[in-house]
Amino acid sequence: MQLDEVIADLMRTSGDRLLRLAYQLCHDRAAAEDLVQEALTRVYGSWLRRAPAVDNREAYVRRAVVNEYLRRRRLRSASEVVTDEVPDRGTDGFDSRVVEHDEVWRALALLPARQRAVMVLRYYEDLPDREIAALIGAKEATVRSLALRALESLRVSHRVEERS
Amino acid sequence: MIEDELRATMSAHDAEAPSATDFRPHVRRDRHVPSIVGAVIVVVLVVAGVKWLQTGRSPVTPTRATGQAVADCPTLPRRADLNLWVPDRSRAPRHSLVPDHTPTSVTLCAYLHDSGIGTPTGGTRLDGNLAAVTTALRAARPARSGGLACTLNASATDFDNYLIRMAFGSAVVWVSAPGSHCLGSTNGRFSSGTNLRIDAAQAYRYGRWDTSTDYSPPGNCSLSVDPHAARTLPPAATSMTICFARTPPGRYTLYRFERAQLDQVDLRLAAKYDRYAARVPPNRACPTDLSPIATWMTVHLDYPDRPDAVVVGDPRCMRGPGGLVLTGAAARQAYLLFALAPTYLH
Repeated sequence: MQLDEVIADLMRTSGDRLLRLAYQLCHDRAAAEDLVQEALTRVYGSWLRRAPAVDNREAYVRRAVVNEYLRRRRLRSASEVVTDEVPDRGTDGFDSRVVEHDEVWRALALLPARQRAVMVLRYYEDLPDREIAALIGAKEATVRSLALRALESLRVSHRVEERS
Repeated sequence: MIEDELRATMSAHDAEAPSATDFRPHVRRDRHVPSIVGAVIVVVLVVAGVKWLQTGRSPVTPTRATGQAVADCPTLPRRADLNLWVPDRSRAPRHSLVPDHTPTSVTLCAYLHDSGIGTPTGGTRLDGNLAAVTTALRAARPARSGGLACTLNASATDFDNYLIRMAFGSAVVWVSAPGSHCLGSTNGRFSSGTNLRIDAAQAYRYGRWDTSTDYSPPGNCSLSVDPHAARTLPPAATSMTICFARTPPGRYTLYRFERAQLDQVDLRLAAKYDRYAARVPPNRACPTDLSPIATWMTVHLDYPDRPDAVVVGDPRCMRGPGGLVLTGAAARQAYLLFALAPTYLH
């Protein structure tokens, strides 16, 4: 199978999954598409040099997506501004569960990139810490530490939201 | 447990993610991509786009458009700026969206379906009581910081953006009506926590700002079943009236869609429908992970050659008391409209 067919096939079978992962990381549809596109570009270059193994292509691209996300966060352009202020208030009176989800979602968006990646890989992808460590190029202990700090931040955010 | 909430939150936002069928290339200016890589990306996207094309999705034709109205509508700068951009804020008041005067003209500029190209897809000059527009816009509350109650189904918007052009003699004030649930309207100086998109969309559709009196419920929106309705309903309805009920009980929103409008909704939300449909289990049991905003709805179907029919039920599965089930095109449209429900309920 030609390489372009391999990637096309990968997108057919795993495209949605990869885009969902990217969206969980970025919280932005366009950025998620950019992320996957960039990851595919890098993967293609890599697979041109060395043919991909048959059994772990999706995992390889997933790793590329996570790494590209972390790389972009490191190189974030000056035009992006991180803020903890939401732009506006929507509508009141929705079910409290909806609001609660939204609070957690917003708090996730404020986490540092590596912590957020660990949260997504752990609680969205349900990966064990060992695999997360391999994915983000860190030690398992580092993953546990990142997860602890992220959870603590989320708990604090949650308590603040509850008080307010 | 925060871990459980994390899982639930991420899962709840899953449907907002782009799908491979929507995946399209973006123009890249920041770096040179080797041509061969570019070529393969094109191949990938063509393959991924085949299914998208097969859905028959096509550009939306605006419901109402006049030449002069469109001429009043600007081209938007960049996709990223669509939501809160206004072309000119020099005459915008600082403490409300619009001044307390009756406008001499009101134009609604539509940028439908998030085309990303920034050109208006249509424009309409409003008729009727223009003072009602001022009243509605001045009632918009200022934005509050520190909290956002944004629906989980923000992605269920159709990404239509509107700009409201209010002319007061020679002075013009622009107000945005963003497609995102999570943003309020702004005139460039005053930001509101109220999103006027629902009103703008309705005014654009009907050419008047306040159409509620024209579309009052037929009878009432109570939970009832037409005893003459068939167990499964033929799809060739000439119109469909939807009563969306919401919590707390007793509040509802009603929309009536004529055949042509149903077709348009069908086009605009085909992809979203597919996503929702994919989440309805084959046995038609109600999914438990959808937003609880719309708790039930009634669907009134009008037929040219047989008695009207009413289906009542949970919009997530369209199964009503007595086992009535919507099928075929009618079911598809009902699902589409359910996808729109979070947009319309406010």
